[in-house]
Amino acid sequence: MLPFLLLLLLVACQSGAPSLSVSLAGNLIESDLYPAASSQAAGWQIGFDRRLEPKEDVRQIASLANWLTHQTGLPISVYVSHNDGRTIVDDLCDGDVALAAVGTVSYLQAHDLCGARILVRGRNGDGNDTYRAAIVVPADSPLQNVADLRQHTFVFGAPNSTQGHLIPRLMLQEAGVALEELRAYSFSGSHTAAANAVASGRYEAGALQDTLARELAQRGLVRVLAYSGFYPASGIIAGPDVPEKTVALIQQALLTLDPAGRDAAALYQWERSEMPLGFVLASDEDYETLRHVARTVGLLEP
Amino acid sequence: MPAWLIWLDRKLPRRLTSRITLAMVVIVIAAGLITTVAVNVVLSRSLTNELVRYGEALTLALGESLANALVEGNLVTVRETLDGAINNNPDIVYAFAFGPGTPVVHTFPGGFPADLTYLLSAHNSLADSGVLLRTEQGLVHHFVYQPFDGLPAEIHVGVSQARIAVEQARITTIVILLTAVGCLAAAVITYVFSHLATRPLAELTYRVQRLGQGSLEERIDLPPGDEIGDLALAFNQMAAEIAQAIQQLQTSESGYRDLLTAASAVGEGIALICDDGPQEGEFLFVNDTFARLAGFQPDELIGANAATILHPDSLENARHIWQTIRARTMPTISDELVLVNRHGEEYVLETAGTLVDYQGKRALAWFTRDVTERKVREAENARLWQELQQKEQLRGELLARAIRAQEDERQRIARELHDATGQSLNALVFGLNAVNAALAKEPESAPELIERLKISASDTVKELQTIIYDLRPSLLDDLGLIPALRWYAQERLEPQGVQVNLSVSGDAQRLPAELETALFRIGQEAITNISRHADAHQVHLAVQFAPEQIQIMVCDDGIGFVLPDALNRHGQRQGLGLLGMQERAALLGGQMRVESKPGGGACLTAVLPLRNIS
Repeated sequence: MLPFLLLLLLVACQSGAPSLSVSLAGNLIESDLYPAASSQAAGWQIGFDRRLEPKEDVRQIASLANWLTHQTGLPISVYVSHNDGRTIVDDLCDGDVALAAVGTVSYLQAHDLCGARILVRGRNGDGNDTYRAAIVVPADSPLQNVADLRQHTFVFGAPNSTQGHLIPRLMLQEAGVALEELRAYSFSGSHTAAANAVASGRYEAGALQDTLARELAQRGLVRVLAYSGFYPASGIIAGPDVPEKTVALIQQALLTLDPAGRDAAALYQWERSEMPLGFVLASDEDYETLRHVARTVGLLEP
Repeated sequence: MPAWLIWLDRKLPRRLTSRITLAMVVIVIAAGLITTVAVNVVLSRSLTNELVRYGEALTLALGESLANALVEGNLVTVRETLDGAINNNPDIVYAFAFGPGTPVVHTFPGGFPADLTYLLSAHNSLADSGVLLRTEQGLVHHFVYQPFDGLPAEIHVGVSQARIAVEQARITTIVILLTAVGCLAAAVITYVFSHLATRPLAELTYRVQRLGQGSLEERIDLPPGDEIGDLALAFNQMAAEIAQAIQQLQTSESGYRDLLTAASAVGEGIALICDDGPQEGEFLFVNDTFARLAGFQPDELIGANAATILHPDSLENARHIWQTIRARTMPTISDELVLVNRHGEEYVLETAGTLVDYQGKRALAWFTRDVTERKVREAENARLWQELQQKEQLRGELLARAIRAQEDERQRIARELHDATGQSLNALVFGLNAVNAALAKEPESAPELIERLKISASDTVKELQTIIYDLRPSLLDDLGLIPALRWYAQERLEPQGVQVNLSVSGDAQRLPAELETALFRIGQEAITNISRHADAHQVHLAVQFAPEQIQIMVCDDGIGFVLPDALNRHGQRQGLGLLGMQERAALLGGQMRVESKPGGGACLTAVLPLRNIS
C-alpha cells in the first residue's frame, strides 16, 4: 500500500508541469518563414546613427521612441536599417524614417541632400550642448602628440561619424598630418570597434568620442593623446516630409526630456548616449564650422 | 485492538527476531522509497530549476550574441551562431531566431516545424516565457528571448529535459541500490542485534519454562541496568517469592494432608466439592473413608455430582447448608444428612463444611462422620428408657399395691379374726361364763355346756389354721414346693369344680426357700387369677427340674385374654398380678412369659436359673 502511494506521489510530482504537445519532425515548412509582414511598424519611424553596438543603439533609440510615444501620443517606433549599404541619410531623405538620432555629419549630409531639419541637440555629461573627439593610443604607446602619428596605423570609427571621423580628421589636419602620411588607416564602423582596435594593439592610434575615451583611459586601457575642441553635439533631426506640427510637437517633447531624473527609468542606459542630460534647442547655423570641414574632407557633396 | 492489527499479527511470523528484522527491512524499504521519491522530487525540481536557469541564461546569452546580427540582418552569422550553440550544448534540441524583417533562422535540418509557429510572438503570447513541450525527442523546455523592446526579434531555444530524466533514473537506481544494500545491512544488523537482544529473552524464557516445570532454584545471571536486566532481576525476585510461597504452600499442604490423614484415621469422611464454574457440585476430591461409605472407589466419585449420593429428603437441607456456608454467615455448619450408597443402603452422616481453595478453584470442604450406629443405639436407648420409665412406674404402682394388699390383708385378717375367731372366742367366753353359772346353779348341765364349748373351741382353731394357711402354707416350709402347689390348687380350684393336674419332671428336689417362695407365689397368683377370671374347667400344672434351671408352667382352658390389654390394665388386679409375677422372676434372674388369646385359654411359663441360688 505504502509503496504504491509513494509511486503515485512520484508520478504526480513528475507530471505536475503543464506541457504542449508538438511535433519537431512533422509538418515542416521548407521555405523561409517571416514571422512579421514587415520589420517596421506603422507610424513615425526614428532611425539612428550607429555609435555603439547595433543592439545597444537600437535599445537606446527604442526607449526614446517609446518615451516620445508616451509623451506625444504619436506612434513612434525605432527603425532598424539593415547593413545593406544604405545610410540613415538615405532612409531619411527617402522618407523611410521621419526622425533620426544622428551625429553632425549625418545631419549635414541629410540637410545638404534633402533639407532635413535639426530639432534639438544633446547635452553631454557636463551639461554642455557640445562635444569633442579624442585621439587615443595604447596605454604603453610612446606616441606623445598627434604629429607623432605619422607612419603609424590609425583607426577611425564610422565614416560618417562626427566624433569618430569628422572631428579627428580636423584634428589631424590641424596637426599637419595627412592621411597619406599615416602608415595605414581604416574605419572600424563604431566607437567601440575603434576602441577595441586600439586597446588590443591592432592599431597604434584611433579616434573616439571624448566620453568613451576618458572612461577607457581611466580604466588604463588606452591613453588619450589629444582632445579636440568643442563642437555642437549630436541631435535629433526630422525628414523633409514630416509636418511642421509634428516636428514642433516632437521638438517640444524632446526639450522636456529629463534622462538623469524623471525619465531615467523609461530610457535604456541613456547615460551612455551622446545626450545623457537631454536636449537643447538647435539650429542649422550652429553647424556651419563643421559643415565646412565636412565639405573639406569630402563628406558632403561639393 | 483494531481488526487490521489482529489480522497483521496473525500474518506475521511469531518469532520476535523475525518480526524485528522484518520491521527493520520494511522501515528501510519505506525509507528508501520515501528517499527515492523525495530525492526524485527534489532532484526533479532542482534540475528543472537549474535547467530553467540554464536555459534562460543560455537563451539570454545566445540572444545577446545574436542581437547585433539580427539587427543588422546578418543571417549567416545568426545561423552559424545557432549551429555553434547547438553543437556545443548537447542539451539544446533546437534553436531558432529572427530579427526585424528577417526570416526565421533555425537549426532544423528538414524545415521549420509548423507546430512551433504558435510559439512565435506574432502568433502566441506564450513565447514570452518558457514552456514545456512534449516532442518525439521527449520533454523539451522551450525558452524565448526578445532582445529588443518593441522590435520583432526573438531567439528561441529548446532544451531537452532528458538529462533530468537520466539523472533521475541514475539517482533512483543509486537510491534503490543503496536501499537494497541498506535492507540487507539492516536485516543482518537487525538480526544480529535482535538476536543479541533476544538471547537474554530466550534465556529468560528457558528459565521461566524451567520454573514452570518446577525448578524453583532457577535464577538468571544477567547484568542489570537495561530492560532485560531489570526483567531478569524481577524474574529472580519472582522465582524467590514463588519458591517461598510454594514452600509455605507445601508446608500448608503438608499440614493439610496431615489433617486429612488424621481425619481419615478417626473415620472422618472428607470430600471437596467444586463451588463455582461448570463443575459446580462435582466432587474434586474424596478420601478413602468417604468413598468407602458411598460404596465407590475414590476415583469413581471424582467428577460425580454430590447430589447423586444424597437421599432425596436430604437434598433441600444440603442446599440450605451450602447456601449458608456461601453466605459466610457461618464459617462451618453442622447438620445431619442421609447418604444412600451405591447399594441402596442409607447412612446418617453428621456433616460440617467450609469453603476452601483447592487447585485454584473454590470448593466446599465437606467433613462427614457416619453416625448410623449411634443413631440406632440412641433409638434403642430411648426405647429402653421408655420401657424403664414404664417399669419404674409399674414398680411404683406395684409397691403401692403391695402396701395396699398388705393393708387389705391385715384388714381381712383383722376382720376374719374379729368376725370369726373373735366371735368364737367371745362365744367361748360366754360359754365358760355359762358353765361357771351352771356349776353354781345347775352342775348337771355343765358337761353338756363344756362339750359344746369344746366343739366351738375346735372350730375356732380351724378358722385360725385357715387364716394362717392363707398367709403362708406351712406345707411349703414343711414339704416343699410341689405339695404346697398341689394343696393350694386343690383348695382353691377344686371347690369351683375345676380339675387340677399336676405333673413333675426332672430331678425333683427341695430348692432354696427364696426360690421355692418365688415359684409358689407365681403359681399362687396364676391359680388365683384362674380362680377369679378364667372360668376354666381344667388346669394343668407342670414343674420341670433341670440342672441349671427350673420351669413352672400353669395352663388353663378358660376364656383367655388379650395379653397387651391385660398388661396395660395397670389399675387392675390382673395386670398388676402379671407384672408382679414378672418382677419376682426378674429378681431371681429368670423370665416369665404369658401366652393367651381370647377363647383359647392361657398358659403361663416361668423359668428361674439355679446357679446363682445358694
